[in-house]
Amino acid sequence: MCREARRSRSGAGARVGGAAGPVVLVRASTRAMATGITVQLVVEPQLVADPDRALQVFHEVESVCTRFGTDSDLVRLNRAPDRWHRVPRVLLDALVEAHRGHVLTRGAFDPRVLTSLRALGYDRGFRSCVANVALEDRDVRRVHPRGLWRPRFRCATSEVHLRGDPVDLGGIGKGLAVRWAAARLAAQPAVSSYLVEAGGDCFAAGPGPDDGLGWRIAVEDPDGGAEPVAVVRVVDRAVTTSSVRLRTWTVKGRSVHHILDPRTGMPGGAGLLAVTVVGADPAVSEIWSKSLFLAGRAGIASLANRRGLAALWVGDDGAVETSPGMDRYVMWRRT
Amino acid sequence: MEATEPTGTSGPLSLPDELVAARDRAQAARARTSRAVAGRRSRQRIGAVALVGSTVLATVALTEVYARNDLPGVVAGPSGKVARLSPPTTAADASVLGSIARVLAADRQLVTSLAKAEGALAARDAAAARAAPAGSAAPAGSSGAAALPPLPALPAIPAVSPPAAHATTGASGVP
Repeated sequence: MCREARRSRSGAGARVGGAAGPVVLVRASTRAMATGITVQLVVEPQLVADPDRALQVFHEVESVCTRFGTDSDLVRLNRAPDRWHRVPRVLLDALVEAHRGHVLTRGAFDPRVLTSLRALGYDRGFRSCVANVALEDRDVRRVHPRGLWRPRFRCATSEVHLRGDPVDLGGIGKGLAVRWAAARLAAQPAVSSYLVEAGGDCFAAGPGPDDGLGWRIAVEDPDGGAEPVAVVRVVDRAVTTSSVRLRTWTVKGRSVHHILDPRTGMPGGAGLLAVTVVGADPAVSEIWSKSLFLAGRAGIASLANRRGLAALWVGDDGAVETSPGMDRYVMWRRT
Repeated sequence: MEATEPTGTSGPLSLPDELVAARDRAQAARARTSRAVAGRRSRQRIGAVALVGSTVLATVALTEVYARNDLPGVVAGPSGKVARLSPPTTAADASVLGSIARVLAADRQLVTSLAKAEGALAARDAAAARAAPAGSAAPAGSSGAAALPPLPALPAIPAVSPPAAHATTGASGVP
């Protein structure tokens, strides 16, 4: 778990000429949830903004919702998933949102993939993860829970019952943290526009610092190329990506990744390397990016169209495709 | 019974002097009024033309002055000074436009070269037709290996680089 508060502020006082006149662009960053977190604020002159209030959200969420380590509330909850637990409000809200995502995607998003992740060797921080797990597919399938996830909540007393299955909030935790950090920034009168970026999950509010047309977010090449595959321009939108670029390891000589299909307990998304979704909420967009990824290259276009999602995906041959809803956001794409 | 002149006839001889004088005054007044009206109409026509013409000239002049001057810039800094407008294109756009201009110039050279080649071929065909005996003239365009002038090389259009981004999405951190 990464708890160091390695924060830095750069660009404080840097004035930029936005569409509405000169403003101050404040940038602040920290490291939490095993990734770099950055906020950029467009601040009205003569006013003071506090980016640290937003950055602190990520440390709060990490301390409660991480499944790594031994002392988080989620770890304690997962140790005894078959009884009621009183949990911090942050964890309760995260579990409620995860259950909503499970229902919204009709089970495609399932926090119970933790069991399969552990079986595949992803039971510690990825850097210390076992690189050669001697498990057969049938072993993974045997431990994978079946059926819909039906946790129980007592919101008045902040209690939760997982009904026997431990969970992983890695598929939604960062999106929720971005959502809550954005809410803290939106509550600051000095902030007219802002961008929250957390390891590839972003939320951009307002017209941005430059031309007043929005924030520009580059979609990285999942093959590791220096040039992005596309650049989107958004206003009041979240941009999230599910990619297998980094979290891939080997099990019995077979390459696996961390985006597991709840139906099989095995890595899904055949034919895809990455899926990016633009939506109104970062947590919901993150859920959809994973669910679309699991649809695979054969089914992603129809699912995105059926759900009206703005999606961009990169196939394992490097081809970049988009749903009709994404076209309005793409300002540049690789030819 | 004494015969009388019918009323309203045109004979002026029997009119009294007072009526004749009144008639003359009325005619003179009518003539003056006609001249005055005609003059007024003439002045109105000339004035309207002059007004429209001067308006057009003034507009053209103002447009010319406006086009020759720089547009007022946007406020580009805390000092609030008016800055000049930045160039309307980015460096990448300018590069692409430059390449397109070079391609067009090469196209023009190509068209010129082809025209010259066509002229040379036509002249050679004509000379061959004159030199050949009647009935044995080769068909036009078949006069052998008329070398085309060297064609200009087309410059390559550079790929447009991606715009600068405020953030990236795609690679999550690794715990």
